[in-house]
Amino acid sequence: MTDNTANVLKMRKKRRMREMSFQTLITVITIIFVLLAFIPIFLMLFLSLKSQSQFYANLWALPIPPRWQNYNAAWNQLIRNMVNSVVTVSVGTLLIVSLAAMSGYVFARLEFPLKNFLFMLMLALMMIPGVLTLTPSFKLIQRIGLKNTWWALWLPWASGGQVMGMYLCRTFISNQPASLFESARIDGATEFKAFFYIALPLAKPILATLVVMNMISLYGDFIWPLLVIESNTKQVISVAIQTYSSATGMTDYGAMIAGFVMATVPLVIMFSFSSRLYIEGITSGAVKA
Amino acid sequence: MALKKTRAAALNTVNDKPENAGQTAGNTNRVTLVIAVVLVLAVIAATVVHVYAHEQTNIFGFVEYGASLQNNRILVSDELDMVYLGTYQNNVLAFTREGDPVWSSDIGAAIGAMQFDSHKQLLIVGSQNRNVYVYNALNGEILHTYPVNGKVRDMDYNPVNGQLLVAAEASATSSTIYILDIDSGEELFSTKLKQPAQGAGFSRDYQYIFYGDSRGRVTKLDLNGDKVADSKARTEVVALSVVHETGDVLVLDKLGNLFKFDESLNELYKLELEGEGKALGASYDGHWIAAGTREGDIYILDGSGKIHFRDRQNYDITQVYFGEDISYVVTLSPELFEFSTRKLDNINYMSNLSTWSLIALIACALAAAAALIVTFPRSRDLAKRFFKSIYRHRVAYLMLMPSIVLILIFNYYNVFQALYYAFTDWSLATRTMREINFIGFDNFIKIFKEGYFLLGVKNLVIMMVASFVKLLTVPLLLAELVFAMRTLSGESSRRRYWFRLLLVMPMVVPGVVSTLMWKNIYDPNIGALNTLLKTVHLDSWTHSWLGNPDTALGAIIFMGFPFVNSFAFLVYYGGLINIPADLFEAARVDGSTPLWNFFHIHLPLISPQLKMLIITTFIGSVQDYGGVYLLTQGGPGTATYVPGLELYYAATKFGQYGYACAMGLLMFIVILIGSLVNLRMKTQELN
Repeated sequence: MTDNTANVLKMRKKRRMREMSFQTLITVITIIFVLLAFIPIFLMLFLSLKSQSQFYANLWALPIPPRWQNYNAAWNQLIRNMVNSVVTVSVGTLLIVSLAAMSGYVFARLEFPLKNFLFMLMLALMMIPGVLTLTPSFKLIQRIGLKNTWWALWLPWASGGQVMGMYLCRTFISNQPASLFESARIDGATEFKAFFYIALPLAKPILATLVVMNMISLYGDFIWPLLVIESNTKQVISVAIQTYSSATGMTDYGAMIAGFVMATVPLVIMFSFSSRLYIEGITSGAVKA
Repeated sequence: MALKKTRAAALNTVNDKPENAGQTAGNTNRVTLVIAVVLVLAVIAATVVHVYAHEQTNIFGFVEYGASLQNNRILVSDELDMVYLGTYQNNVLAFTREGDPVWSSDIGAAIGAMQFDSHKQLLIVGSQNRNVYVYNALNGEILHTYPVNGKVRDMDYNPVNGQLLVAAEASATSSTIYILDIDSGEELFSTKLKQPAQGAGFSRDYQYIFYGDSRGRVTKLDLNGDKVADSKARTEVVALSVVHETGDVLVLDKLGNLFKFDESLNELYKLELEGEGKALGASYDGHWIAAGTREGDIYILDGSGKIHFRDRQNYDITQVYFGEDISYVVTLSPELFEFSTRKLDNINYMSNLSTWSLIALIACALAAAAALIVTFPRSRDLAKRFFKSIYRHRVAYLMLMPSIVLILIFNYYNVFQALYYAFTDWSLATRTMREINFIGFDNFIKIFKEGYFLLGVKNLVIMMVASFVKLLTVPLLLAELVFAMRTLSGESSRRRYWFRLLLVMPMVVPGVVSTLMWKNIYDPNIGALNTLLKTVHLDSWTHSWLGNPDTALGAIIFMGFPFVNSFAFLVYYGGLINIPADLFEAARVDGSTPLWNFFHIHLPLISPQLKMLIITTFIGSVQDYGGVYLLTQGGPGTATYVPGLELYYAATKFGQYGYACAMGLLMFIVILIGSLVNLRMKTQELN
């Protein structure tokens, strides 16, 4: 009896040990990956404080004294474009998310003639590569006189970006319990009220996911703004940072990399507010084919 | 009995007012039928009016003489009843009004301008061989030859004292404006300009000279050569014309902008015409203005700048000549047109009539269709049901409206444009949309012949395979690792939360920034990679990573190491945590191993996520060129060229729009096939 108990205890202890070493192992591996993934970021922060001579002397040496002027230079050059980016990307994201939420709700909850046709009409766009329409889109923007205005960014962004969002919203909203909407309807809520007061609040995680996804992709878009925005006062950061980097790349590496850090800051701020909802949204299972 | 009843009802309906008739469905509504018939008659009438008015606006008639030559200038003498043609093929031809040739002369160079002295019966011809010839207008005898310093671009003539104004272009940076005495050839005035003057003319009182130059300036000189006034067109002036009666100055520039200035060169108005400006003419009283473009468009405007008539010919318009009765349009071809100057007065009315009759036609046709629909019970019911259904589902349609409208304008419109342009020669050299030619599959043949696109395909395949490997290994591994983290009691651990956050955080670095940062890491001199290799004394391993054709592609693929794709990681992870726990429970009871779990539970249950990631990665990587564009621009040589980059260059740098569309179409087909195959494969697996 005692022998048996001892045996069980021993086995349990052994299993415990094995489990513990397993957990340690996977934690260590994950930590290694995390560290590797952060290398460019650390490198960026570290190098952004170096002077030109410190770059050539020893790259790994600590930037002593730190050269804060690098940030001054980057700020003076890029602040205008950063503000532009924040404004254009915010408006663009707002448009995308509101359009996606509305159409997602309609396709998830309502029945109406031509529903499937309209759904396929939107969904088929996911198959169409952006490069196919690059040339005609540019010419269209030119022809309707939107070139070099922010509308040239907002309208095509909203139009193209909403499709994926619509699809995700539809999946998410159709997983919401139908009984909620039925009881709302019985209580006399209009369709629009049901959308606004029931579907939207419940869809917060997926909306946050959409906000983050679209912000990141719009913020990083540099091909389209490069084509349609001409004046530097209206240009967005993703394009400006290239010009800035080739301008400073020969003479002042520190200032160039300080510019990289600065260009990252808006996304860091945005992410710190929305990361929890974003992760919740993506891991909710709505993101699948 | 029943029959009687229905008949009574029918009678009732007919006698009733229309709205009552509408309510008793099932009967033909005679009132609307009558309306429909009337409307159909109106449609017919409108069509007749439209066709007639349209015909009346068609004022041009072909002129037979001068056929087979590229005509450049025309001049008509009403006194002698003669027509003179100056051609681009070095001839001066004289015809009677009836078209019988009288004389001809070959002067060995294209004719730049012609003037006429009706009193002395002289034809004055300015040629591109730097001579001004004075002909006897009746027999073609050359009376004088006056050399000028440059190709003659434009001339004007003062018949009172026989002074000839000549604008001669010596080179791209110099030209001269002369005034010659026509009898002696004496140079009365000359001034040198630093730019070619394309158009020149005397003022109404012959006391001033106007000229327009290639910088887009319009200048008024007095006869001492002093500038009195000047003004600006948008670009290079191609023609200048002074209205004899009012003294206003008309200027056409290369972008098709038409300006009207008063005598002191104050701008009266400006108009934008479509096409590249080429020729300009004005009637003697300034009542009519005509402008021609290089694309063959001809515009006829009234003095206030309102366009009354517009037509298109096949060739460059070289001159519009206003005669007293007959006016001529000269094209750089055998095609010479005449039109009656008087008919122009009518044209405005007729073109209005044509437009309004067309509008009336459409409106009547629609109304007739509506009336017919209301007339018959079955169609009436259908229409009613249609509108009712739309009204019932109005919320759905209203909420979808913005999305659909945007998509139609900014996506589908462009998609169809691209499909069409892929088969055309649309390029930077195309001046107007109407000049685009359909060229069948030439663009596609070019894709396979020219090689850059195909060269890119090899790199693309390598990069795509790499991105699939990257997608299917590290993020999945990390998702499994984080998913496996639990406390000793088997509950999910706090570590999960933190690692999840840490692994997602790197994605806040914008793509452009992280790419540029990697470019810095690869820098041969101060880059972190080479420095690291030197620090560990592997100097021989250092490379100019992006500058060496052997390593450039590898360097681009390696960018982003260790390939923690935050989005894919989260999606995988989301798939894993959504697997019902009882599945694992059941598997554990059956004595499963972790490996068995992975292949038989994890993979099948996250296959929807896998499918989504694979499709999006596929679509993304076929058209991706952002990284290559930022890092190497396809170089060194073509070591990192990808099809998307070739498309981008064709659409931007090289301006081969049609070709770019063809490449886009090809890539779309590849993506479509790939996606369909992918979708099919997975559904089979799931079943």
